[in-house]
Amino acid sequence: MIAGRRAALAAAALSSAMACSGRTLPAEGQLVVYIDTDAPLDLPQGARLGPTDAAPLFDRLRVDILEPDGTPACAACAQDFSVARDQLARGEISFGVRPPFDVDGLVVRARLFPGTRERGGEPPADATIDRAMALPRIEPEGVVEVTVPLPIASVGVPADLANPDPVLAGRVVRATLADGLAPAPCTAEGDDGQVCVPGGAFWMSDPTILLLEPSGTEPPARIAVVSPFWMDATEVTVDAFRRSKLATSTDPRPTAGTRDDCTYTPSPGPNETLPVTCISWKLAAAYCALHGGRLPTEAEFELVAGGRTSQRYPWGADDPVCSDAVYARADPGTQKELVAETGACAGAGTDPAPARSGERDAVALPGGNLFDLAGDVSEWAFDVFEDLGDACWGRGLVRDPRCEPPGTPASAPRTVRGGSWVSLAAEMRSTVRISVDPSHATHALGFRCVRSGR
Amino acid sequence: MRAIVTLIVVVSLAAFAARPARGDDADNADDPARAAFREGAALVDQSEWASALSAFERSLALREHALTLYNIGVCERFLGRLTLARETLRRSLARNETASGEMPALFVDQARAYLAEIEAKLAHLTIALSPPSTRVAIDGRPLAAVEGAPGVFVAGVAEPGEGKPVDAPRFEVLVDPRSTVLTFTLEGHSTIEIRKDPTPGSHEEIPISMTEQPAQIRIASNVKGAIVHVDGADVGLAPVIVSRPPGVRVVSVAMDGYVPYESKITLKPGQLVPLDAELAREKTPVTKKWWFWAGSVTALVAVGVITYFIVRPAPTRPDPNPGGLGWVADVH
Repeated sequence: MIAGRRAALAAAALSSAMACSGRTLPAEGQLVVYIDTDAPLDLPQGARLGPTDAAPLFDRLRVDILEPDGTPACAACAQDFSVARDQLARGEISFGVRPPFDVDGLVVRARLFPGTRERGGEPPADATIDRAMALPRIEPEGVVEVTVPLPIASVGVPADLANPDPVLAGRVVRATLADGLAPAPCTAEGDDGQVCVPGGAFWMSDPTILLLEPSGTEPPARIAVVSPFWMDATEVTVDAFRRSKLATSTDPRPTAGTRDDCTYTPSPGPNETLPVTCISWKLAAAYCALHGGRLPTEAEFELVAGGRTSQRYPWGADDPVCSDAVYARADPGTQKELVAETGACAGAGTDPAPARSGERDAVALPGGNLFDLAGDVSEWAFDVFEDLGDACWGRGLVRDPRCEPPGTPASAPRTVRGGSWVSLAAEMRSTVRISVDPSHATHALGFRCVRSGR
Repeated sequence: MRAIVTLIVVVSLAAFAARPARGDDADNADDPARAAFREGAALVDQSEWASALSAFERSLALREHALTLYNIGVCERFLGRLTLARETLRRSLARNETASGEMPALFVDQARAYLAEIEAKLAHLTIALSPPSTRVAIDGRPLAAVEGAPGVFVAGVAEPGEGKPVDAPRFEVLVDPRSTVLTFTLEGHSTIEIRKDPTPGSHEEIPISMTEQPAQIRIASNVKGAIVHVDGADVGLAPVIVSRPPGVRVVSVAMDGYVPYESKITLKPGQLVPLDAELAREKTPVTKKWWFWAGSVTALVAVGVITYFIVRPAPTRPDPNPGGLGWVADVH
């Protein structure tokens, strides 16, 4: 009995071995599409932005597979993904496409955009890198690798669906950032009291934190690439300005000795460490020129005031309390037209405060800190005040933007950035900008200087 | 600076207009409703809006008056509770129409101006909801229907409590332009909670589709180590707990020497189903017979040879490559 059983098991094993000798065929025909881009993607989960990291500008990818006429090629031929820079570095931003073997002309459309700007389920056209490329015909067997490049220089330009370029053959993922997008050290020397701002790219005038323009519309999306520059760590003080010997009898307008008044004194006095106020744009610009620099452009100011990453305030997104910055300090006793909100922090003092008075109103950089960007006094900027939709600002990707159209008269209004000791919290947001006559000097308006970092 | 000057002027007008209606003269000092009203007015002078609101609400509880309602609406507006302010100012105008003369024309006009301003500032969320019987709450309060506007609701005015069904596949909600949390619940489905930060006057579409919770099957057997399959997939040895989507599932439990066990069960969302498989031993096997082995050897050899030449196994191909993103667009 036992011998018979063993013989049967051996025969069964023999049969199975003969029957189970399977064959493995080549893979069925398909494409593997890789995405390459020189734009800075989101950080990996849990990672923090380092001082030499480019600020993330894009984090969502939408892929559509289309017929030549632009209609979807199948019911499930559209998909959204979250994408990060570590995936790009490993060549993992890729997906498969299985087209019919006898069909030509399918198109892959890839759109890279910031997820926070999605509207009604659609990527925002002016803030999207949009590319449509024609897929090749494939054979019934074998995997073909192709690449769709998404250059950041084409942000805001819609894809040409009617005339798509052919995809790049092979896996061509360089994952190299475009020039100027990552912070870079200053190579030229700065002035005393200045800190190097390493520059970089950011979304300028983010509509989610912008107080609407006078026209009531959102500005077009814009990536500003700013070259490295030196910036005064603090607003220019009364003492520093007096030493320049640029003051006239009326500019800066001297203090009358009353509360909520100008800070400048022709002779040394109690206001030496306060920001100089009641100064015209022209004289502020002259001071900066005397020190080998100029007033900061709006892009330079907004880069630092937003903490390099388009934040609402230099410290982040949360609204301030009185100790965070010098704001809402209007004196209710002298400002009868004001109500509680603009004097809500008057208990901490009225009038401008010495530099570094705000506990959180500072930006830390590798070379030092910048102070009082949100509060204390508002600051003159270099640019002529134009609506953010004006042609002088450009569209899409703009490098070192500044707005001073040719033939601008000396009387043209200039931009003022940043909040002040009389501002409400919302007026300290990094994107807030107002138009002021260049000869207009007020008790809440001062300035600081910058110098090129190259 | 232009923006700040503008703001100051606007706020000044508001402060001037928000000066509480003083009501009738103060010769009725021992009237608690009037005393609370005056207390509220004094607090407004000090810009203590929250305390002023509390005083006016005490006055209203003692005696309803259009001016008291108006003052409450102004306080709510100053505190940024725009949907509540909208509701209260409407009540003040409605009361003034039935109890005419309670509110001077100046305050009637101002209340209408505030309402127009609030309407422009409220954010509009259009929600496409599947299924429509889902319960909806915003910031811990159910929605309130807007009278005379079918399919339009307002957040922040109903009493705090659990969400209630809206019973509409698509509807609009008016919300304050600030950070807000929307909560969607449905029995047997995973709760959805999302945070929005709408800007003044914005319009946003929010599609919501509730997903069923998976069910669980707890499979045990009287035979230790019996092999368990669910819908043909090997899930391990009994006892084992598996999760599956709702629907009909086939569970089979097998062990050498036992009659295989199979059961078809219907799973509901979030359900936990215990299944005890009683396996019975097989009867005396035929393998004890001598002629079984003799015949089996012969038959197996013949079958093996025939199988090899006739039934060649189907060749296999690797699965489609989904890339790093794990997706294949199948255009076939």
